[in-house]
Amino acid sequence: MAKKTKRMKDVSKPSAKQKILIVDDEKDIRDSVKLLVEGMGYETGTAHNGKAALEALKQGKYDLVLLDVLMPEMSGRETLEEIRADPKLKRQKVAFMTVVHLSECGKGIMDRLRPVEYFQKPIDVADFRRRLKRLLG
Amino acid sequence: MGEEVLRLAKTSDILSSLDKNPNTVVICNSRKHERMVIDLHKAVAKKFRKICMITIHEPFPILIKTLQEEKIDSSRYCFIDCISAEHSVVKDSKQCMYVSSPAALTELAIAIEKTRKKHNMDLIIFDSISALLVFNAETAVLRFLNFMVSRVRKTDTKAIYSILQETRKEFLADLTLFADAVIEI
Repeated sequence: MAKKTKRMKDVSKPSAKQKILIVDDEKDIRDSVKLLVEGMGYETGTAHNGKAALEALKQGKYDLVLLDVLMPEMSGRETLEEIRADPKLKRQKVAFMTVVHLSECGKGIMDRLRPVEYFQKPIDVADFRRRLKRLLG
Repeated sequence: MGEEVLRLAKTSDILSSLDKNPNTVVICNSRKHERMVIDLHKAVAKKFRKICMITIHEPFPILIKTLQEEKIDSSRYCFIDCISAEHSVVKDSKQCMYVSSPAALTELAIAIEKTRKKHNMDLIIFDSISALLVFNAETAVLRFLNFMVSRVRKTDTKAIYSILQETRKEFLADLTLFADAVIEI
């Protein structure tokens, strides 16, 4: 019986612990998303701006980056441009998580940077979980 | 910013852009800026019923004098003056509402909403975003503008955001993410 319970638990959590980097200049948002994501069984790292995110990516491997757009020092767009220009990081999976409602010209700019997903803040938790699972398998 | 920007456009292009793009950013170099704004007023005063002019670097009395000298119908205008209260005692009038400082972005957003309800304007002109950047951090201005852009889309309003070409290009690129159109004059 104990074995059966364990197997069922394993199905809902990621098999090997995958790691997500949460990048947002607002601590409350970093903390809330961290709680949510860790509750789904993922490991997390956090960064308070684009520069700190680039440092974190150079020092460790992340399966996904959740990236805010409007941040001081280096915006999410600039950060993803740097990631795509770096031969070691250019294949990094990055999803935006932002309050910005992209315009048509904004969509054109973002599409060229190849984010894997675009989460609109405020996030719908059920939808966020479903799409995150689909992204990371 | 690449092909997202329509370069070397004319004032008439701003008006045609507004038909499709309620939030249009107009980039202009500082030498041409004053003339461009006057030409813009001449054009919009004929097309729009009520215009809300948000002035960040020029006090309301100077601005209204300029409109009169240029024979532009100032009765179509209402104003939000963000600069005068910084250095003089001011009181709201029928045509002008004052904001305590260009750094008071929440107060400015509230003033715009109040003006919208009072005057039912169909066009908002921000002159200029570059002046807002003198008093606020870039991220704060981008968040404020992202909010404004959403409000404009939800209401039956159009908005023109004038900005100097000399502004940091990364700021312009981030603004382009949510502006409906960017025109360079």
